[in-house]
Amino acid sequence: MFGEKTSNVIIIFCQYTSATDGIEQVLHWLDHLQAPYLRVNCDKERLSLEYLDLANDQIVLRHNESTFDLADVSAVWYWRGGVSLAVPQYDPSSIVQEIFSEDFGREAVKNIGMEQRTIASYVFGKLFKKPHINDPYRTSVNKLQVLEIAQEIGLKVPKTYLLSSSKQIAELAGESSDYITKAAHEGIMTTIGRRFYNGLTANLADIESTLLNEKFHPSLVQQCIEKQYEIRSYCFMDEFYSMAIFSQNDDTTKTDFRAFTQDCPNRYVPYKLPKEIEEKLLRLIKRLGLNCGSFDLIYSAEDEYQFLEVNPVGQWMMTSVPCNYYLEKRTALWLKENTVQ
Amino acid sequence: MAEGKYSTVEYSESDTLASLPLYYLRLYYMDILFQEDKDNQLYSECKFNRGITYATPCHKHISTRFNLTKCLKSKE
Repeated sequence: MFGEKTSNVIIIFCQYTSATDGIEQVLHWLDHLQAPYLRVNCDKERLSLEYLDLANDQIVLRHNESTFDLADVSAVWYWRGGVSLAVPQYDPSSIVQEIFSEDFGREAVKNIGMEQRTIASYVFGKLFKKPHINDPYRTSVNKLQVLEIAQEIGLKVPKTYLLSSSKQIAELAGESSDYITKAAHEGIMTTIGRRFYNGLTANLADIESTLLNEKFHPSLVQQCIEKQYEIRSYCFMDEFYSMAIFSQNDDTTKTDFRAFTQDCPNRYVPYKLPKEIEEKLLRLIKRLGLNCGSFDLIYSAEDEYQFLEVNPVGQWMMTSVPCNYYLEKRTALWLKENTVQ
Repeated sequence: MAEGKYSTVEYSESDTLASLPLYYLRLYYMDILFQEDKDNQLYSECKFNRGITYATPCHKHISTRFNLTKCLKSKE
């Protein structure tokens, strides 16, 4: 690899142009620890297969001008981006048509696509059998399924509905509680020009009723839990690194702390969840087949921990920096030693 | 609108909202400042709260850092 044989190489899948928060800090620690690594910027480059020998369990991959043997990989960190192999692209109308027909070309391209996915799925399946952080095939979880499992495990979750008509909203409005709405998957997050759009959690009471149609897209609606504070807890290899966020006293962050302002910053402090809650969260993360995740919880006015959701890959810099958890160092050490330190 | 502050998108009556999920009816946005630093290295800069500016350097030759580490090792 890279001109001479090297073992114990760490492979890092991330992005070059966005969501780089945390990557640089971990790479600096890996440099300091003199741990060899290969960064694959998934948005700009891909690995390609050079050779596979099933009997001898040998897979040789290429990254740009260099090749390496999977046997030399000691750990893998999936951080961001789509993981796929670089494969030839075919245009059914210009290449295969010359020999057969465009209809055959389209079928051939579909068939070759399945061929490529079969190869990629085997290669990455082998790669992610190595000690790894996160899994590219489990970057997203179904929020509704997660809430259901959380309930089964014994965590408290807010009353949750999927509503699709203003009549159903009106019926809820008759109850004493407030309700919020948020994305059932992930809120839209996109930059158009120099404007960044973010689909945050919104209080139903803040939505102008004139905008409501009689029927609308099924939307996730949850009981609004009055909170003493929010908790962001990052689980890394069965260890929890938690932070309390005092967002309740500011109207702009009361519903979603991500809508923070410079005028009234939230207070972030290190926090220790009760063992019982950590054990339940750990059971949840195992049921979901994850080894890391960032949990959102609320500590309610009724002194109860209410589980909201889990982000499988998670952003941990926002917890690490204010709480001095040095998760970037822990991540680098784990990648080098495969043990939590 | 001040930079770095979230605001909600204002819809007009002519916008078609009938089929959108509810949370789209209160969508947030924030303006982002991009700039290059004096070393001509590309930075994406976002101004958030607490007066903190997160500046993320985008290393142009990041994939070759492994080679650099190897070179340093061999010099030792």
